[in-house]
Amino acid sequence: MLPLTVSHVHLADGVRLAPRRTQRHVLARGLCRFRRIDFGDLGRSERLGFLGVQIASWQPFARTDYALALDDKGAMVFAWDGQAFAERCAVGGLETKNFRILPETMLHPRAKDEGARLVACISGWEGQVWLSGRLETSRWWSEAPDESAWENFVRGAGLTPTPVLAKPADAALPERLQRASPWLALRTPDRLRQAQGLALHLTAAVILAALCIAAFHEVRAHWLLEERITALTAEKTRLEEKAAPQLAAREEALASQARLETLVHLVDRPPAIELLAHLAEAISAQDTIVRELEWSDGRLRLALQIPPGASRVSYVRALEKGGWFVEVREAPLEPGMIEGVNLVLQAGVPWPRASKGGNS
Amino acid sequence: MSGGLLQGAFTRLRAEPRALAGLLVLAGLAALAVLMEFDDRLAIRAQEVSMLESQLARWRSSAAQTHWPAAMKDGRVRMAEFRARAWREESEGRIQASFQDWLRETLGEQTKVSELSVSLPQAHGENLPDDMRLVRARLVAEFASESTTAFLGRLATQERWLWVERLAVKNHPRQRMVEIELVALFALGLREGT
Repeated sequence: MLPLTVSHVHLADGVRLAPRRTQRHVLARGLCRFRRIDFGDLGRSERLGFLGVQIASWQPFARTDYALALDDKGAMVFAWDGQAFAERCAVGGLETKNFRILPETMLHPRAKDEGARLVACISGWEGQVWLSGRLETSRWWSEAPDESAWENFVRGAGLTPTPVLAKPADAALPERLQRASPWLALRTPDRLRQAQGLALHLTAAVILAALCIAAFHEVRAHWLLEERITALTAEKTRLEEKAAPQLAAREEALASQARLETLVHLVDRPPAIELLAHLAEAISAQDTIVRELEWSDGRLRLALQIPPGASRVSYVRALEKGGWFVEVREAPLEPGMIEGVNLVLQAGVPWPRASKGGNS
Repeated sequence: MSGGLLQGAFTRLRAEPRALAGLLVLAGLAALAVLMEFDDRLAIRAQEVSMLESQLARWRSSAAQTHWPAAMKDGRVRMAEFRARAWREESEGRIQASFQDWLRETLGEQTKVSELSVSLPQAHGENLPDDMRLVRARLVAEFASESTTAFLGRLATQERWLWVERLAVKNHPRQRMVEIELVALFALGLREGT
């Protein structure tokens, strides 16, 4: 039974074809160049541009193709001879469109330990240096490196040389690599640019959609408001016609009422004759003479000549009796006034004998 | 040609993602500004709706108040009744003269009047209707209990608007004097019977 995942395997001497049609092309390590590009302190938005510049300046072949695997600190870049790849495909009768190229390095298991290791490849050997779970350096030898070559490689990577532990290549390695998946997603530079463009387009589309939704909401709300205003205006016109007589009547009635209140307040005075009659009634029982009298603005001032020894409070009581005169009090004598009792009092409202008919 | 230029610009923009992103941001901000402006106008229209609704509520309430025409008629009747009791003359000059005549006639022969003046104050501080006037008369006479009481009694029986604004009895060196200030309410117009 054939495995589900198969690949064509590119070696220096040609292509080992997969048992069935596939778009996967595994490139032997010997056909690739490796370079790690660190992003350093660059921001996320600047990384792809930086990577593009770095890749453009690294052209190990006349026609170089690339595969990139990005991690959070940098990118692993694999380069190969695009012309040679195309020629191998042509010889093998393979399509050169819509293929997926997988450098062999990415199909070997990821190192679990830090440091240098030597990996047996389909063809040749690959020295790898891993730091913090990232592949920092890689070098390929067609034959297993001797001790000095290994030491140079390890020292070149800034590590202390350790004895090389070369494991012979597994016979099942080619088949295993055919089915293996890369331990980090691989992209071509074009795909990266497209991904960046896609993100931009997606963002623009989201913003545009949000704006369209907001605009739709605004336009709908505006339309509903206009409809409401039209309906309310029509109703207002109808009500204005209906309520106009009532409003005019109300305005006139209120104005008329206010004017009448003013006029009634103006003419509503106690007749002077009644005032005098009331006064005479209040002090008639006493042997008293009214010497002076002044009635103005609802206030009455009286200068009384009273019998000797008469109680002044009896006059105040007499005047207060009946309740019309209020605030009765004795006032000091003014220059020219006669000796006696000077009373100042206020006529209360309403006056006792008032009638709507009487006015003077 | 402009199509080619646009095509060229678009191609260049696609090659410069940052410029494209900047342009998109600017376009987004402009669209946002337009939306906010639109939203402001919407708020103004919403305010108009709210005002219209409150106006309508007032109109509905007014339309339901059907008692006002009756109140208006009642007010007219009361005003007509009030006006009917006002003195009536055709001009201010006639008002002054006729009131003075009436006063002299009412005072009679027995009242010894030393001063009598009738004035028509210009300022209508009492907020009277335009066709109404207050006439003030000041008279000073020798105080005699009978004649003064009789005069005040005649004033009290007067049907038309007339009242004593000030009444003073004072002792002067030789005799007692009474000072009376009278006010009458006149309406400008044809006299009854003319």
